[in-house]
Amino acid sequence: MALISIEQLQLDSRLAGINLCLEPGELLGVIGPNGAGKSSLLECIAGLQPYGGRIALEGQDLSRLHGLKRARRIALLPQRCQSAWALKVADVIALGRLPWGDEDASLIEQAAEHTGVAEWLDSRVDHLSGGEQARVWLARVLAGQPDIILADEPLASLDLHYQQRVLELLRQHAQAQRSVILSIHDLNLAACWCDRLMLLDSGRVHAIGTPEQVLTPDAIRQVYQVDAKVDFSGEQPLIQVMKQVPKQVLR
Amino acid sequence: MTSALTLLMLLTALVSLHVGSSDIAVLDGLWQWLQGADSAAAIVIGEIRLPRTLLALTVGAALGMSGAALQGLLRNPLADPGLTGASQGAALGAASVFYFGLFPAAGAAAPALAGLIGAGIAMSLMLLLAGPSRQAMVIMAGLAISTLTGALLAAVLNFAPNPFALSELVFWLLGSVSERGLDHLWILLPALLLGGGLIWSQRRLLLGLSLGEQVAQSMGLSYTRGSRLIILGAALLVGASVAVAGAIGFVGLLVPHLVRPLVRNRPDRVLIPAALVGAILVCLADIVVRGMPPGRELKLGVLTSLIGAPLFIWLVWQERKKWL
Repeated sequence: MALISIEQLQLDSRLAGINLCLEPGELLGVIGPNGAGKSSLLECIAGLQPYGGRIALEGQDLSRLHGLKRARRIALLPQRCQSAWALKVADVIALGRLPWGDEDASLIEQAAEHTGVAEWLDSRVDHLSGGEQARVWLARVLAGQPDIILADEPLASLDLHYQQRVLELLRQHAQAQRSVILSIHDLNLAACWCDRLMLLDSGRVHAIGTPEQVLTPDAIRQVYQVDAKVDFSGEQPLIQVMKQVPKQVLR
Repeated sequence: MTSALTLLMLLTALVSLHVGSSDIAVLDGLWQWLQGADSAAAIVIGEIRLPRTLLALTVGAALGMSGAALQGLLRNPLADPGLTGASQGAALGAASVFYFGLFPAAGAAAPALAGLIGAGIAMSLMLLLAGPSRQAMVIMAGLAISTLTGALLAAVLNFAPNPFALSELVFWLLGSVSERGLDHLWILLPALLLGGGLIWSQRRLLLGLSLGEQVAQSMGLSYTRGSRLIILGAALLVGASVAVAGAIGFVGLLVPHLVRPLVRNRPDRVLIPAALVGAILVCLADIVVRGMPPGRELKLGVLTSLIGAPLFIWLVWQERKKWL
Protein backbone atom coordinates (compact mmCIF):
# COMPACT_ATOMS: atom_id res chain seq x y z
CA MET A 1 0.00 0.00 0.00
CA ALA A 2 1.20 3.51 -0.78
CA LEU A 3 2.49 5.32 2.29
CA ILE A 4 1.02 8.62 1.14
CA SER A 5 -1.57 8.95 -1.58
CA ILE A 6 -2.70 12.33 -2.81
CA GLU A 7 -5.74 12.86 -5.00
CA GLN A 8 -6.65 16.11 -6.69
CA LEU A 9 -4.86 18.27 -4.14
CA GLN A 10 -5.89 21.92 -4.36
CA LEU A 11 -4.55 24.93 -2.44
CA ASP A 12 -6.02 28.31 -3.44
CA SER A 13 -3.99 29.52 -6.43
CA ARG A 14 -0.81 27.72 -5.40
CA LEU A 15 -1.58 24.06 -6.17
CA ALA A 16 -4.05 22.43 -8.53
CA GLY A 17 -4.91 18.82 -9.36
CA ILE A 18 -1.89 17.19 -7.73
CA ASN A 19 -1.93 13.39 -7.66
CA LEU A 20 0.83 11.35 -6.05
CA CYS A 21 1.56 7.94 -4.58
CA LEU A 22 4.56 7.76 -2.25
CA GLU A 23 5.81 4.21 -1.87
CA PRO A 24 7.56 2.85 1.23
CA GLY A 25 11.35 3.09 1.00
CA GLU A 26 11.19 5.82 -1.59
CA LEU A 27 13.15 9.07 -1.76
CA LEU A 28 10.98 11.37 -3.84
CA GLY A 29 12.43 14.65 -5.07
CA VAL A 30 10.14 17.61 -5.71
CA ILE A 31 11.69 20.00 -8.21
CA GLY A 32 10.53 23.10 -10.01
CA PRO A 33 11.24 26.82 -10.29
CA ASN A 34 10.70 29.29 -7.46
CA GLY A 35 6.98 29.66 -6.72
CA ALA A 36 6.11 26.34 -8.40
CA GLY A 37 4.44 25.11 -5.20
CA LYS A 38 7.12 22.81 -3.72
CA SER A 39 6.91 24.20 -0.18
CA SER A 40 3.11 24.47 -0.37
CA LEU A 41 2.88 20.78 -1.24
CA LEU A 42 5.03 19.79 1.74
CA GLU A 43 3.07 22.12 4.02
CA CYS A 44 -0.21 20.49 2.97
CA ILE A 45 1.12 17.03 3.80
CA ALA A 46 2.51 18.34 7.12
CA GLY A 47 -0.94 19.67 8.03
CA LEU A 48 0.03 23.35 7.95
CA GLN A 49 -2.33 24.40 5.17
CA PRO A 50 -6.07 23.85 4.76
CA TYR A 51 -6.29 22.08 1.40
CA GLY A 52 -8.88 20.77 -1.01
CA GLY A 53 -8.79 17.20 -2.30
CA ARG A 54 -7.60 14.21 -0.34
CA ILE A 55 -4.35 13.21 1.29
CA ALA A 56 -4.26 9.74 2.84
CA LEU A 57 -1.66 8.12 5.07
CA GLU A 58 -1.77 4.35 4.44
CA GLY A 59 -5.35 4.77 3.27
CA GLN A 60 -6.43 6.85 6.26
CA ASP A 61 -7.66 10.38 5.55
CA LEU A 62 -4.99 12.73 6.92
CA SER A 63 -7.45 15.51 7.75
CA ARG A 64 -9.23 13.17 10.17
CA LEU A 65 -6.04 12.21 11.95
CA HIS A 66 -5.33 13.99 15.24
CA GLY A 67 -2.49 16.53 14.98
CA LEU A 68 -0.20 14.71 17.41
CA LYS A 69 -0.81 11.32 15.77
CA ARG A 70 -0.02 12.81 12.38
CA ALA A 71 3.12 14.45 13.76
CA ARG A 72 4.36 11.11 15.12
CA ARG A 73 4.37 9.70 11.58
CA ILE A 74 5.12 12.75 9.41
CA ALA A 75 7.83 15.25 10.30
CA LEU A 76 8.65 18.50 8.55
CA LEU A 77 12.17 19.84 8.20
CA PRO A 78 11.44 23.44 7.18
CA GLN A 79 13.44 25.50 4.73
CA ARG A 80 14.61 28.02 7.29
CA CYS A 81 15.06 27.16 10.92
CA GLN A 82 16.26 29.26 13.82
CA SER A 83 15.96 28.88 17.54
CA ALA A 84 14.51 31.90 19.32
CA TRP A 85 16.35 30.94 22.50
CA ALA A 86 19.94 29.88 23.10
CA LEU A 87 18.94 26.24 23.59
CA LYS A 88 21.41 23.39 24.07
CA VAL A 89 21.70 21.01 21.12
CA ALA A 90 20.31 18.18 23.30
CA ASP A 91 17.18 20.26 24.02
CA VAL A 92 16.69 21.09 20.35
CA ILE A 93 16.85 17.39 19.44
CA ALA A 94 14.49 16.63 22.35
CA LEU A 95 11.94 18.88 20.61
CA GLY A 96 11.51 16.07 18.10
CA ARG A 97 9.95 14.00 20.89
CA LEU A 98 7.21 16.60 21.53
CA PRO A 99 4.52 14.69 19.60
CA TRP A 100 5.28 11.66 21.77
CA GLY A 101 5.25 13.62 25.02
CA ASP A 102 8.55 12.18 26.24
CA GLU A 103 12.22 13.09 26.12
CA ASP A 104 13.65 9.62 25.54
CA ALA A 105 17.37 10.13 26.19
CA SER A 106 18.46 7.06 24.22
CA LEU A 107 16.57 8.14 21.08
CA ILE A 108 17.97 11.67 21.40
CA GLU A 109 21.51 10.30 21.69
CA GLN A 110 20.90 7.91 18.81
CA ALA A 111 19.68 10.74 16.56
CA ALA A 112 22.68 12.86 17.58
CA GLU A 113 25.14 10.07 16.81
CA HIS A 114 23.43 9.31 13.52
CA THR A 115 23.81 12.90 12.36
CA GLY A 116 27.28 13.32 13.88
CA VAL A 117 26.34 16.03 16.38
CA ALA A 118 26.84 13.94 19.55
CA GLU A 119 29.93 15.90 20.57
CA TRP A 120 27.92 19.14 20.71
CA LEU A 121 24.98 17.87 22.79
CA ASP A 122 25.92 20.27 25.58
CA SER A 123 26.78 23.21 23.31
CA ARG A 124 24.45 26.07 22.52
CA VAL A 125 22.89 25.65 19.10
CA ASP A 126 23.45 29.32 18.21
CA HIS A 127 27.20 28.81 18.67
CA LEU A 128 27.34 26.25 15.83
CA SER A 129 27.98 27.03 12.16
CA GLY A 130 25.18 26.92 9.59
CA GLY A 131 26.21 23.46 8.37
CA GLU A 132 26.42 22.08 11.89
CA GLN A 133 23.04 23.57 12.73
CA ALA A 134 21.50 21.93 9.64
CA ARG A 135 22.49 18.56 11.05
CA VAL A 136 21.00 19.46 14.44
CA TRP A 137 17.66 20.37 12.80
CA LEU A 138 17.77 17.03 11.00
CA ALA A 139 18.60 15.22 14.25
CA ARG A 140 15.52 16.85 15.80
CA VAL A 141 13.37 15.35 13.06
CA LEU A 142 15.04 11.91 13.31
CA ALA A 143 14.53 11.78 17.10
CA GLY A 144 10.78 11.64 16.48
CA GLN A 145 11.30 8.45 14.41
CA PRO A 146 8.76 9.51 11.79
CA ASP A 147 7.76 7.25 8.88
CA ILE A 148 7.91 10.16 6.48
CA ILE A 149 10.29 13.11 6.47
CA LEU A 150 9.30 16.17 4.46
CA ALA A 151 12.54 18.06 3.86
CA ASP A 152 12.04 21.50 2.36
CA GLU A 153 15.21 22.57 0.59
CA PRO A 154 17.50 21.27 3.33
CA LEU A 155 20.59 21.87 1.19
CA ALA A 156 20.13 25.62 0.79
CA SER A 157 23.15 27.51 2.16
CA LEU A 158 25.13 24.32 2.82
CA ASP A 159 28.60 23.69 1.41
CA LEU A 160 29.33 20.63 -0.75
CA HIS A 161 30.45 18.49 2.18
CA TYR A 162 27.34 19.12 4.27
CA GLN A 163 25.08 18.73 1.21
CA GLN A 164 26.41 15.19 0.77
CA ARG A 165 26.12 14.42 4.50
CA VAL A 166 22.49 15.55 4.68
CA LEU A 167 21.59 13.65 1.50
CA GLU A 168 23.25 10.49 2.85
CA LEU A 169 21.17 10.74 6.02
CA LEU A 170 17.93 11.25 4.09
CA ARG A 171 18.83 8.36 1.78
CA GLN A 172 19.45 6.14 4.82
CA HIS A 173 16.08 7.11 6.24
CA ALA A 174 14.20 6.25 3.05
CA GLN A 175 14.37 2.50 3.52
CA ALA A 176 11.98 -0.34 4.34
CA GLN A 177 8.74 1.25 5.51
CA ARG A 178 10.10 4.79 5.66
CA SER A 179 10.14 7.45 2.98
CA VAL A 180 11.36 10.96 2.35
CA ILE A 181 9.96 13.76 0.22
CA LEU A 182 12.72 16.20 -0.58
CA SER A 183 12.23 19.59 -2.17
CA ILE A 184 15.43 20.47 -4.01
CA HIS A 185 16.74 23.00 -6.52
CA ASP A 186 19.94 21.29 -7.68
CA LEU A 187 18.87 19.05 -10.57
CA ASN A 188 22.16 17.10 -10.59
CA LEU A 189 21.79 16.16 -6.93
CA ALA A 190 18.10 15.42 -7.48
CA ALA A 191 18.92 13.07 -10.38
CA CYS A 192 21.73 11.45 -8.42
CA TRP A 193 19.98 10.76 -5.11
CA CYS A 194 16.24 10.50 -5.73
CA ASP A 195 14.33 7.37 -6.78
CA ARG A 196 11.66 9.41 -8.47
CA LEU A 197 11.18 13.08 -9.27
CA MET A 198 8.06 15.23 -9.41
CA LEU A 199 8.48 18.33 -11.56
CA LEU A 200 6.11 21.11 -10.55
CA ASP A 201 5.29 24.15 -12.63
CA SER A 202 2.91 26.90 -11.49
CA GLY A 203 1.23 24.62 -8.96
CA ARG A 204 0.68 21.73 -11.37
CA VAL A 205 2.54 18.48 -11.95
CA HIS A 206 4.49 18.82 -15.19
CA ALA A 207 6.01 15.35 -15.02
CA ILE A 208 6.53 12.55 -12.54
CA GLY A 209 8.72 9.48 -12.85
CA THR A 210 12.35 8.36 -12.69
CA PRO A 211 14.96 11.13 -13.06
CA GLU A 212 15.62 9.98 -16.63
CA GLN A 213 11.94 10.20 -17.53
CA VAL A 214 11.42 13.62 -15.94
CA LEU A 215 14.64 15.49 -16.68
CA THR A 216 14.46 15.79 -20.44
CA PRO A 217 15.85 18.85 -22.26
CA ASP A 218 12.30 19.65 -23.40
CA ALA A 219 10.85 19.57 -19.90
CA ILE A 220 13.67 21.72 -18.54
CA ARG A 221 13.21 24.24 -21.36
CA GLN A 222 9.44 24.42 -20.85
CA VAL A 223 9.56 24.75 -17.06
CA TYR A 224 12.79 26.66 -16.41
CA GLN A 225 13.09 28.46 -19.76
CA VAL A 226 16.74 27.44 -20.12
CA ASP A 227 18.46 25.06 -22.53
CA ALA A 228 20.19 22.12 -20.91
CA LYS A 229 22.27 19.15 -21.94
CA VAL A 230 21.19 15.98 -20.21
CA ASP A 231 23.37 12.89 -20.01
CA PHE A 232 22.27 9.76 -18.17
CA SER A 233 24.79 7.45 -19.85
CA GLY A 234 27.70 8.03 -17.45
CA GLU A 235 28.30 6.79 -13.94
CA GLN A 236 26.35 9.76 -12.61
CA PRO A 237 23.61 11.71 -14.34
CA LEU A 238 24.76 15.07 -15.64
CA ILE A 239 22.52 18.04 -16.29
CA GLN A 240 24.35 20.99 -17.74
CA VAL A 241 22.62 24.29 -18.32
CA MET A 242 23.77 25.93 -21.53
CA LYS A 243 25.06 29.47 -21.29
CA GLN A 244 22.42 31.89 -22.53
CA VAL A 245 23.74 34.53 -24.90
CA PRO A 246 21.78 37.79 -24.52
CA LYS A 247 19.92 38.75 -27.69
CA GLN A 248 21.52 42.20 -27.79
CA VAL A 249 24.95 40.62 -28.23
CA LEU A 250 23.66 38.47 -31.11
CA ARG A 251 22.63 41.59 -33.00
CA MET B 1 16.08 23.99 41.63
CA THR B 2 12.35 24.62 42.00
CA SER B 3 12.51 23.31 45.56
CA ALA B 4 15.48 25.58 46.35
CA LEU B 5 13.55 28.58 45.02
CA THR B 6 10.44 27.53 46.98
CA LEU B 7 12.55 27.38 50.14
CA LEU B 8 13.99 30.81 49.37
CA MET B 9 10.47 32.15 48.87
CA LEU B 10 9.34 30.76 52.22
CA LEU B 11 12.37 32.32 53.90
CA THR B 12 11.61 35.67 52.26
CA ALA B 13 8.01 35.40 53.46
CA LEU B 14 9.21 34.69 56.99
CA VAL B 15 11.52 37.72 56.92
CA SER B 16 8.65 39.79 55.55
CA LEU B 17 6.46 38.75 58.50
CA HIS B 18 9.21 39.86 60.88
CA VAL B 19 9.72 43.33 59.41
CA GLY B 20 7.58 46.11 60.80
CA SER B 21 7.44 49.04 63.17
CA SER B 22 6.48 46.96 66.23
CA ASP B 23 8.53 44.09 67.63
CA ILE B 24 6.32 41.01 67.63
CA ALA B 25 6.90 37.27 67.96
CA VAL B 26 5.80 36.15 64.50
CA LEU B 27 4.95 32.49 65.04
CA ASP B 28 3.22 33.30 68.30
CA GLY B 29 1.16 36.04 66.67
CA LEU B 30 0.31 33.79 63.73
CA TRP B 31 -0.83 31.03 66.08
CA GLN B 32 -2.95 33.45 68.10
CA TRP B 33 -4.51 34.84 64.91
CA LEU B 34 -5.34 31.35 63.64
CA GLN B 35 -7.07 30.65 66.94
CA GLY B 36 -9.07 33.84 66.56
CA ALA B 37 -7.44 35.62 69.51
CA ASP B 38 -7.88 39.38 69.85
CA SER B 39 -4.34 40.22 70.98
CA ALA B 40 -2.19 42.97 69.45
CA ALA B 41 0.23 40.39 68.02
CA ALA B 42 -2.62 38.48 66.35
CA ILE B 43 -3.98 41.65 64.75
CA VAL B 44 -0.60 42.93 63.53
CA ILE B 45 0.38 39.59 62.00
CA GLY B 46 -3.02 38.39 60.77
CA GLU B 47 -4.54 41.65 59.59
CA ILE B 48 -1.50 43.60 58.40
CA ARG B 49 1.70 41.67 57.75
CA LEU B 50 0.28 38.35 56.52
CA PRO B 51 -2.02 39.87 53.84
CA ARG B 52 0.76 42.21 52.76
CA THR B 53 3.28 39.38 52.47
CA LEU B 54 0.88 37.04 50.69
CA LEU B 55 -0.17 39.78 48.29
CA ALA B 56 3.44 40.66 47.49
CA LEU B 57 4.16 36.99 46.80
CA THR B 58 1.10 36.41 44.60
CA VAL B 59 1.50 39.67 42.67
CA GLY B 60 5.16 38.83 42.04
CA ALA B 61 4.34 35.26 41.01
CA ALA B 62 1.60 36.42 38.64
CA LEU B 63 3.84 39.02 37.01
CA GLY B 64 6.85 36.71 36.74
CA MET B 65 4.90 33.88 35.17
CA SER B 66 2.95 36.06 32.74
CA GLY B 67 6.20 37.67 31.57
CA ALA B 68 7.82 34.29 30.98
CA ALA B 69 4.75 33.04 29.09
CA LEU B 70 4.43 36.08 26.83
CA GLN B 71 8.13 36.22 26.03
CA GLY B 72 7.95 32.54 25.11
CA LEU B 73 4.85 32.98 22.99
CA LEU B 74 6.11 36.05 21.14
CA ARG B 75 9.66 34.65 21.04
CA ASN B 76 10.82 38.06 22.11
CA PRO B 77 12.90 38.52 25.26
CA LEU B 78 11.83 42.16 25.49
CA ALA B 79 8.09 41.46 25.56
CA ASP B 80 6.33 42.90 28.59
CA PRO B 81 3.11 41.48 30.07
CA GLY B 82 1.59 44.95 29.76
CA LEU B 83 1.55 44.30 25.99
CA THR B 84 -1.82 42.56 26.20
CA GLY B 85 -3.47 45.85 27.19
CA ALA B 86 -4.62 44.15 30.38
CA SER B 87 -2.68 46.33 32.80
CA GLN B 88 -3.99 49.60 31.35
CA GLY B 89 -7.49 48.12 31.30
CA ALA B 90 -7.17 47.15 34.95
CA ALA B 91 -5.90 50.62 35.84
CA LEU B 92 -8.83 52.22 34.04
CA GLY B 93 -11.33 49.92 35.75
CA ALA B 94 -9.90 50.70 39.17
CA ALA B 95 -9.73 54.42 38.41
CA SER B 96 -13.42 54.41 37.49
CA VAL B 97 -14.17 53.24 41.03
CA PHE B 98 -12.47 56.27 42.50
CA TYR B 99 -14.35 58.48 40.07
CA PHE B 100 -17.81 56.96 39.82
CA GLY B 101 -17.88 55.14 43.16
CA LEU B 102 -18.70 51.79 41.54
CA PHE B 103 -19.34 48.63 43.61
CA PRO B 104 -19.85 50.31 47.00
CA ALA B 105 -20.79 46.91 48.46
CA ALA B 106 -17.29 45.54 47.78
CA GLY B 107 -15.73 48.12 50.11
CA ALA B 108 -11.93 48.33 49.93
CA ALA B 109 -11.83 45.57 47.32
CA ALA B 110 -13.95 47.60 44.86
CA PRO B 111 -10.97 48.95 42.82
CA ALA B 112 -9.61 45.43 42.49
CA LEU B 113 -12.93 44.03 41.35
CA ALA B 114 -13.46 46.83 38.83
CA GLY B 115 -9.83 46.45 37.73
CA LEU B 116 -10.35 42.78 36.97
CA ILE B 117 -13.43 43.62 34.89
CA GLY B 118 -11.49 46.41 33.13
CA ALA B 119 -8.65 43.99 32.34
CA GLY B 120 -11.18 41.48 31.00
CA ILE B 121 -12.81 44.03 28.70
CA ALA B 122 -9.48 45.41 27.44
CA MET B 123 -8.21 41.90 26.77
CA SER B 124 -11.38 40.83 24.94
CA LEU B 125 -11.17 43.93 22.75
CA MET B 126 -7.53 43.16 22.04
CA LEU B 127 -8.27 39.54 21.06
CA LEU B 128 -11.15 40.72 18.89
CA LEU B 129 -8.92 43.25 17.15
CA ALA B 130 -5.97 40.86 16.71
CA GLY B 131 -8.20 38.15 15.22
CA PRO B 132 -6.85 34.73 14.36
CA SER B 133 -3.63 36.11 12.96
CA ARG B 134 0.04 36.19 13.66
CA GLN B 135 1.83 37.16 16.82
CA ALA B 136 2.86 40.57 15.50
CA MET B 137 -0.82 41.52 15.42
CA VAL B 138 -1.14 40.73 19.14
CA ILE B 139 1.50 43.36 19.87
CA MET B 140 -0.18 45.87 17.54
CA ALA B 141 -3.64 45.21 18.94
CA GLY B 142 -2.35 45.29 22.53
CA LEU B 143 -0.65 48.60 21.85
CA ALA B 144 -3.81 50.02 20.26
CA ILE B 145 -6.02 48.98 23.19
CA SER B 146 -3.40 50.17 25.71
CA THR B 147 -3.36 53.56 24.01
CA LEU B 148 -7.16 53.75 24.07
CA THR B 149 -7.43 52.78 27.74
CA GLY B 150 -4.51 55.09 28.54
CA ALA B 151 -6.38 57.98 26.91
CA LEU B 152 -9.55 57.15 28.85
CA LEU B 153 -7.51 56.92 32.06
CA ALA B 154 -6.06 60.36 31.37
CA ALA B 155 -9.61 61.64 30.84
CA VAL B 156 -10.70 60.18 34.18
CA LEU B 157 -7.73 61.87 35.86
CA ASN B 158 -8.51 65.12 34.04
CA PHE B 159 -12.08 65.21 35.32
CA ALA B 160 -11.32 63.96 38.83
CA PRO B 161 -14.06 65.34 41.12
CA ASN B 162 -11.62 66.85 43.63
CA PRO B 163 -7.87 67.05 44.31
CA PHE B 164 -8.17 64.42 47.01
CA ALA B 165 -9.69 61.88 44.59
CA LEU B 166 -6.96 62.72 42.07
CA SER B 167 -4.09 62.16 44.50
CA GLU B 168 -5.70 58.99 45.84
CA LEU B 169 -5.98 57.70 42.29
CA VAL B 170 -2.42 58.61 41.33
CA PHE B 171 -0.99 57.04 44.49
CA TRP B 172 -3.01 53.91 43.87
CA LEU B 173 -1.67 53.70 40.32
CA LEU B 174 1.94 53.92 41.56
CA GLY B 175 1.58 50.39 42.87
CA SER B 176 1.66 49.06 46.40
CA VAL B 177 0.65 46.05 48.48
CA SER B 178 0.14 48.00 51.72
CA GLU B 179 -3.23 48.74 53.29
CA ARG B 180 -4.84 45.77 51.62
CA GLY B 181 -6.57 42.87 53.30
CA LEU B 182 -7.11 39.19 52.75
CA ASP B 183 -10.22 39.99 50.65
CA HIS B 184 -7.84 41.26 47.96
CA LEU B 185 -6.09 37.93 48.07
CA TRP B 186 -9.38 36.16 47.32
CA ILE B 187 -9.55 38.14 44.07
CA LEU B 188 -5.93 37.55 43.13
CA LEU B 189 -5.55 33.90 44.10
CA PRO B 190 -8.23 32.43 41.77
CA ALA B 191 -6.83 34.56 38.93
CA LEU B 192 -3.34 33.25 39.70
CA LEU B 193 -4.50 29.64 39.73
CA LEU B 194 -6.66 29.94 36.61
CA GLY B 195 -4.22 32.07 34.60
CA GLY B 196 -1.26 29.98 35.73
CA GLY B 197 -3.13 26.79 34.88
CA LEU B 198 -3.97 28.02 31.38
CA ILE B 199 -0.34 28.90 30.72
CA TRP B 200 0.98 25.68 32.27
CA SER B 201 -1.33 23.63 30.03
CA GLN B 202 0.38 25.16 26.97
CA ARG B 203 3.99 24.68 28.08
CA ARG B 204 4.67 22.22 25.26
CA LEU B 205 3.52 24.79 22.74
CA LEU B 206 5.95 27.30 24.28
CA LEU B 207 8.78 24.81 23.83
CA GLY B 208 7.71 23.94 20.27
CA LEU B 209 7.54 27.63 19.37
CA SER B 210 11.28 27.95 20.05
CA LEU B 211 11.81 26.85 16.44
CA GLY B 212 8.93 28.91 15.04
CA GLU B 213 5.21 28.56 14.41
CA GLN B 214 5.67 26.29 11.42
CA VAL B 215 7.69 23.72 13.36
CA ALA B 216 5.31 23.88 16.34
CA GLN B 217 2.31 23.27 14.09
CA SER B 218 4.03 20.48 12.19
CA MET B 219 4.57 18.77 15.55
CA GLY B 220 0.82 18.60 16.03
CA LEU B 221 0.51 21.56 18.41
CA SER B 222 -2.41 23.91 17.85
CA TYR B 223 -0.91 27.37 17.60
CA THR B 224 -4.10 29.40 17.23
CA ARG B 225 -5.90 27.83 20.18
CA GLY B 226 -2.81 27.55 22.34
CA SER B 227 -1.67 31.13 21.82
CA ARG B 228 -5.14 32.41 22.71
CA LEU B 229 -5.05 30.41 25.94
CA ILE B 230 -1.61 31.76 26.82
CA ILE B 231 -2.67 35.36 26.15
CA LEU B 232 -5.85 34.81 28.17
CA GLY B 233 -3.85 33.35 31.04
CA ALA B 234 -1.26 36.15 30.96
CA ALA B 235 -3.96 38.83 30.81
CA LEU B 236 -5.72 37.26 33.79
CA LEU B 237 -2.49 37.26 35.78
CA VAL B 238 -1.50 40.82 34.86
CA GLY B 239 -5.01 42.21 35.05
CA ALA B 240 -5.62 40.75 38.50
CA SER B 241 -2.29 41.89 39.89
CA VAL B 242 -2.66 45.44 38.55
CA ALA B 243 -6.24 45.49 39.78
CA VAL B 244 -5.11 44.58 43.29
CA ALA B 245 -1.75 46.29 43.62
CA GLY B 246 -1.53 48.93 40.87
CA ALA B 247 1.36 49.00 38.43
CA ILE B 248 4.42 47.08 39.65
CA GLY B 249 6.75 47.73 36.73
CA PHE B 250 9.49 45.66 35.14
CA VAL B 251 8.97 42.48 37.21
CA GLY B 252 7.30 40.60 34.35
CA LEU B 253 9.89 41.85 31.89
CA LEU B 254 13.05 41.15 33.87
CA VAL B 255 12.36 38.06 36.00
CA PRO B 256 12.39 35.61 33.05
CA HIS B 257 15.86 36.89 32.14
CA LEU B 258 17.17 36.12 35.61
CA VAL B 259 15.70 32.61 35.52
CA ARG B 260 16.52 31.54 31.97
CA PRO B 261 20.19 30.63 32.57
CA LEU B 262 19.04 28.30 35.39
CA VAL B 263 16.78 26.28 33.07
CA ARG B 264 19.03 26.06 29.99
CA ASN B 265 16.91 28.77 28.35
CA ARG B 266 13.97 26.39 27.90
CA PRO B 267 10.73 28.41 27.58
CA ASP B 268 8.65 25.57 29.07
CA ARG B 269 10.82 25.14 32.15
CA VAL B 270 11.09 28.86 32.86
CA LEU B 271 7.45 29.26 33.96
CA ILE B 272 7.41 27.99 37.56
CA PRO B 273 10.87 29.34 38.51
CA ALA B 274 9.85 32.72 37.03
CA ALA B 275 6.76 32.72 39.25
CA LEU B 276 8.87 31.87 42.31
CA VAL B 277 11.59 34.44 41.57
CA GLY B 278 8.91 37.06 40.83
CA ALA B 279 7.32 36.33 44.20
CA ILE B 280 10.69 36.55 45.99
CA LEU B 281 11.70 39.82 44.31
CA VAL B 282 8.42 41.67 44.87
CA CYS B 283 8.36 40.50 48.49
CA LEU B 284 11.98 41.63 48.96
CA ALA B 285 11.21 45.00 47.35
CA ASP B 286 8.27 45.40 49.72
CA ILE B 287 10.56 44.61 52.66
CA VAL B 288 12.90 47.38 51.45
CA VAL B 289 9.94 49.76 51.16
CA ARG B 290 8.96 49.01 54.75
CA GLY B 291 12.57 49.43 55.90
CA MET B 292 12.69 53.02 54.61
CA PRO B 293 12.78 55.80 57.22
CA PRO B 294 9.30 56.91 58.30
CA GLY B 295 7.67 59.73 56.40
CA ARG B 296 6.06 59.61 53.02
CA GLU B 297 6.14 55.96 51.87
CA LEU B 298 8.10 55.05 48.75
CA LYS B 299 5.61 53.11 46.62
CA LEU B 300 6.51 49.56 45.70
CA GLY B 301 5.86 50.17 42.00
CA VAL B 302 8.18 53.17 42.05
CA LEU B 303 10.96 51.15 43.66
CA THR B 304 10.68 48.25 41.17
CA SER B 305 10.73 50.73 38.29
CA LEU B 306 13.76 52.55 39.71
CA ILE B 307 15.64 49.26 39.96
CA GLY B 308 14.14 47.72 36.83
CA ALA B 309 14.67 50.54 34.35
CA PRO B 310 18.51 50.49 34.47
CA LEU B 311 18.42 46.70 34.18
CA PHE B 312 16.17 47.06 31.16
CA ILE B 313 18.57 49.53 29.57
CA TRP B 314 21.36 47.01 30.16
CA LEU B 315 19.25 44.31 28.49
CA VAL B 316 18.59 46.47 25.44
CA TRP B 317 22.34 47.12 25.29
CA GLN B 318 23.06 43.38 25.37
CA GLU B 319 20.48 42.76 22.62
CA ARG B 320 22.02 45.54 20.53
CA LYS B 321 25.47 44.01 20.81
CA LYS B 322 24.11 40.79 19.30
CA TRP B 323 23.23 42.62 16.10
CA LEU B 324 26.40 44.68 15.77
